[in-house]
Formats: sequence, C-alpha cells, structure tokens
Amino acid sequence: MSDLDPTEVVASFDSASVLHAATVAALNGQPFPNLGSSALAGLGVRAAARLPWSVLRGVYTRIGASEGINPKRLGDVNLSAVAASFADRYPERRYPAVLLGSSNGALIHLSAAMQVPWLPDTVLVPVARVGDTDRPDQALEFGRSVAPVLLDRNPDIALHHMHDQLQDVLMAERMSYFRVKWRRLPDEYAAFVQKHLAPGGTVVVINDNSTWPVTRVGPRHVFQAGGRGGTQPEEYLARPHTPAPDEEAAESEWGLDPNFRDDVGTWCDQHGYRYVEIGYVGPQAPAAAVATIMREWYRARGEPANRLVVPCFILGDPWLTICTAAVPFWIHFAVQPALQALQEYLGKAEPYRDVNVFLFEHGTSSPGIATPQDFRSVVHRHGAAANFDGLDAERFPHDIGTLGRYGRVFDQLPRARHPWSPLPVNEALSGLSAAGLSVTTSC
Amino acid sequence: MQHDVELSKEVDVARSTGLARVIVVPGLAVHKYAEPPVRHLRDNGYDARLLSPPAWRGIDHDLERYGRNLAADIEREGAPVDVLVGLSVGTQAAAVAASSTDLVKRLVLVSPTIDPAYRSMIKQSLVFVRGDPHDTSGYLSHVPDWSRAGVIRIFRGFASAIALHLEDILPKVHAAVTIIHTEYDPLTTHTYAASLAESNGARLVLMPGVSHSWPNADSARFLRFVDELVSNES
Repeated sequence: MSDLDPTEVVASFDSASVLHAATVAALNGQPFPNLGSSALAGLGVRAAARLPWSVLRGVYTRIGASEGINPKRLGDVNLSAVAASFADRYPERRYPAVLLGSSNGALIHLSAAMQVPWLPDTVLVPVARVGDTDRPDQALEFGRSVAPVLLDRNPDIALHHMHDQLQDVLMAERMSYFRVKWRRLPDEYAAFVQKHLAPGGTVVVINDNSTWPVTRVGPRHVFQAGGRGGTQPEEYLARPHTPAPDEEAAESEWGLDPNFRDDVGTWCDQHGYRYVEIGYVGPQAPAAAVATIMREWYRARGEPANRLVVPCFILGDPWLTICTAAVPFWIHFAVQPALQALQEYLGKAEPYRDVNVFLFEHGTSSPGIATPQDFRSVVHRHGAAANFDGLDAERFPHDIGTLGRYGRVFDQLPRARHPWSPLPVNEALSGLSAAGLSVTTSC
Repeated sequence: MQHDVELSKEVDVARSTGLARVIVVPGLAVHKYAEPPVRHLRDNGYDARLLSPPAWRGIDHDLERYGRNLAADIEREGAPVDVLVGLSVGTQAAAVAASSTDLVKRLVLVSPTIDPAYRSMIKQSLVFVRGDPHDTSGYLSHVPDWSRAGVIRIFRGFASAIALHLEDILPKVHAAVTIIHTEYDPLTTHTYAASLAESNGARLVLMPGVSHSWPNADSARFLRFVDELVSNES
C-alpha cells in the first residue's frame, strides 16, 4: 500500500499545523480567516453553530474524529514527506532567518512581523480509536499495540502519546493523540534552510523547555496523561486508571525534544550558519515579551498602539494583527494560568484603550477554564474596553461558530496609519532578550 | 521622434531649481488619479513632475522605449533625480529608466507589475473584470484618461508590460530601490513584491488599508513617505 498523503497525516485542528498555516498566510500577505479553511467551510461552521449543543456536540466530535488515521495504516505515515509539505508551503524567496522548533502562538506573530518562516518540531498525528476517555491505561495499551510500525517507519521521531480526558474529551472519545517529535533536523528542513536562508542569515531554534511526567512505553515512545491548560499534572495523575509516571519528558504539544535542538546546533556549526536559541518554560512565557516588542515597533513609526488583541490557541490572524497595528498578547488556551498571565501583563503595560479577546472554545467546561466574564473583569480592571466580537458569551464554551467569525472581526479593525517594513531579526531577538527571555547565540 | 519630443515636453527638466526633484511615471494610460499627490508634493516644496502615461496618443506604449526615452531626457538635462517613482506598469518604465542612467538616486516602485501569477492577457483581463472593491477611484473615473489612448494602444501597452519582466531589469539598477506593496492590491501579490525586494537588496514597504492605485486619494501619506525617504537617505 502507498504512503498516506502527508497533508492528511497531521491534524488540521492542532497548534502546529494551524500556527504554521497562519505563518504561511502572513508570509503571503494574506489574512487567516476560518483557521485557513475555505469561506464555504466558514459558512458551514457559522450555520452549524446555530444547532443546539446537544446535537452539535455529536457533529463536532464526529467531524474532528474523521481526521483520525486507521491504526492499521500507521506504517504508511511518512514523516519525511510531512516535513517536506510543511517546508514547501512557504513562498519561494530568501529569508533573513528561519525559525525551527516549538509551536508558539506569540512567536509566530513575531515571525509574521519579521516575515520569516517557522517550521515545527512537533506535529499531531490523530489516530482513530473509540474508547473510554476515563481509562488512560487502556489508551496507553492501545498506543503500545499500534505504534511500533509508525516508529519503525520513521526512525528519526519520538512518539509522545497524549491522553487528556479533561480538555480534549470530545476528541478523545474517538481518537488518540499521537504527537511526534523529530529528534534530529529533518533533511527536508535542512534543504529548506540551505535554499532559503539569505547569506548571513540566522537559524533560530525555539526551545520551550516544558516537561511533563510520562510513562515510558519504549525507547522512543512515552505516554503523557493530561496536557497543559487549566489542570496540573499531579491532578491528572491522581485520577483513577492513570498509569504511573516513571520520568519527565518534553511536554507533548509545546516542549522541544532536546535531541532536535542539539542536532540543529551541530548542523549549523558544520554548515557555518549563525545559530540562535530562544529558551523559555511553557507556551505562555513569550507572550508579554512579544507584546512589548510589537508595541514598541508600532510606536516607533507613529502608531498609537493602544489596541490589544488576545488571540487564543489557534484562533488568531497574525497578518491582520500587523496591518491594524494591534498588539498581540497570545494565550495558549482559555484557562486560568493564561488569564493570570494577561493580568500580569496588563498590570505592567501602559494602559490600552481597547482589548479584543478571541477565545478558542474546546467544547467543554474543563477544570481551570477561564470564561469571557473572567477576561472582561481583568480587562476592565485595567481601564480598557473589552470586546468579544465574534463570540457569543452566553454559549461559551460551546460557541464553535466563533471559528468562522473571528476573521471578519480582525478584518473590520481600523487599519494602521503608517507604512511598515519587516521587523529586523536582530531587533526582535534583542527585544526578547531585554524582556527576560533567554536568547543565546553561537556562530 | 514624436515620442521623444512629447516625453521631453512632459519631463521639462530644463534647469535645476535646487529643490528635491521627484518624477512620477503613472500607470498605463491613466493620469488624473496621480495628479493630486504630485501637486501636493509641489505645494510642499518639491520639484515634482507627473509624466504623461504610457500609451496616450503621442506617448510610447512600449514600456522599454518609454523608459529609455525618459533616461535619455534625464541625461540630456544632466541634473540628478532625487526620487523616480513608478506607479503600476509605470514601475517597469521607471526601472528601465533607472537602469539606463546613473542620475536617478532613488527608485520607488509602487504596486510593481506584472506579477508572474498574472502574466497573461487573460489573467489581466480577469482581474480587471473582477474589479477592485477597495479602489476608491473606480473604473469610471479613468474613462477620460483611457479615451486619450484608445483600446488598441492600451492593449499594446498591456502586451508590452507582460513582455517586460521587472525582475530582469532591477539587477541593472544602481539607485537605492524601495518597493511599495499595498494591502489590497489585486494585481500584484505580496509574494512577488517581497521577492523582488529580497532578490535585489531593495527595501520592502507595506502600505496598510489601500489598494493598487495608491497614492490616489492619499496625498498626505505620499508626501510623508517622500519626505522620510529623502531625509533618511540624504
């Protein structure tokens, strides 16, 4: 049997694939409505959102689950082809930098401002499986039984099988989350850098040092109970039928495989590329630094920069954020730790006049969720007007129509007053460093 | 040559005034939309000229010849041009001119054409028929200008624009180049503008909230842009 189409191997709703697609759109100078899907799909989502949740829940689950790969075909998953498909989607030109590594919604806004590409280290391969979401032990055994062919076929990856019955309950009913991480620089990424990095350009590794307790299943296979959001690892681990962890590993969605970082560093050394590493712990960490850099960049050219936008998880539009000179403060999920980070940022930043909040709704009132009312309170406390255009707060967290509405909200924001040129890479890196992120360089 | 005479008359650079000199090459067979921003430059101390557009009767429809004629006129006059601005297909003629004389100090290409993605008469026609919802001037306002060219000359002008590739000309330009791409441009992709800038060491400038025919109806921002360009690099 032939390999699966690489564009159908990775989940279209995942942070890596959507944030990558948003970056591609920004480098093409294009808005990013409907999470990159067609206008027709957006219309369908808006129409479906009118259904009562009792009906919509089943539709949502089944549509999401339709992406799940038949486990019998995991041997036909060629992740080199996936890497090539990620690299090939960028416009053909040379760039002053190439970003590689962890997914991060804040840093892709910086990527869009610098007009440089980002290629992810981790992608989500959804695998079809109907099971009891409250039996992570059974999920682990399922992974143990089906993963070997995937790992044999792809010797350069590690599998982080994640099972989150709290935040991903709707999807977990019908699929398993196989997050795969490249342990070395894929040849396709290396070829992309060699072809597209401008002379004197910089290879930037985004290194989210997040870890999570895991159960080792095999030499390149771990099982992670739960995921980053509103619940701490120990709370997941305390739940019944949860396999006991035996080590810490890179967090499945956001964390970078340390082997990948080391390999990119070595490769850059061998090929004479300037290597820079941005290091932090947890996906929320770079948001304030990015907001600060973007605000200063806008102000330097005379923009008032008094509108904050709060994109959430995969819901955002980097290109239109820049065209409207809006300052992005990305939150990784609509959860209390992210709300806390926003509150801290607003407490330190010069006051904003308007804040547009875009909340990704995962369809369940999971522990630690932060509601529109929570965000409204925080924004008001800091003297700004809170806008939730495109979101029906009454239906939160079930208003999936917001996926088809947020694009129009971005498009209707007032445009920037002044022309702009891409943010110089060194300026962005200095800004991150000045804001307290670890930025290390080696030539 | 009739074309040279006509072009020389328009350039009319008989003597240097001591003011910063700006020459603007408008798009194909269109002129009126560019008059207010150029007038605004003049009102604010620039020696600014708007040339007759390619394809008007008496003016060359062939963009390469138009550009060479312009360069010859600039050379004849002998004074440097501080900023040579091309608009739309005028970018191609302006680039040819800048590649043919060292007297152009800065070349500004606004909405550079013709993007390889639309490099055929059929594709150009489709874009034209589809219209530009963000263009405040609209097609009707161009009719008087177009009537000074006629359909056949406009058609020939388009054919010339399709045949002349900006990416082949720019490497021969020694002036400092700025490429302006507008947010709503339906004729030129961001990718083409960015790629032209990157491969020719040009500065890419992105203009939010406006369309292909910028600086139409945006004289103040055009003046500010030229001010910054001249002051930053002088």
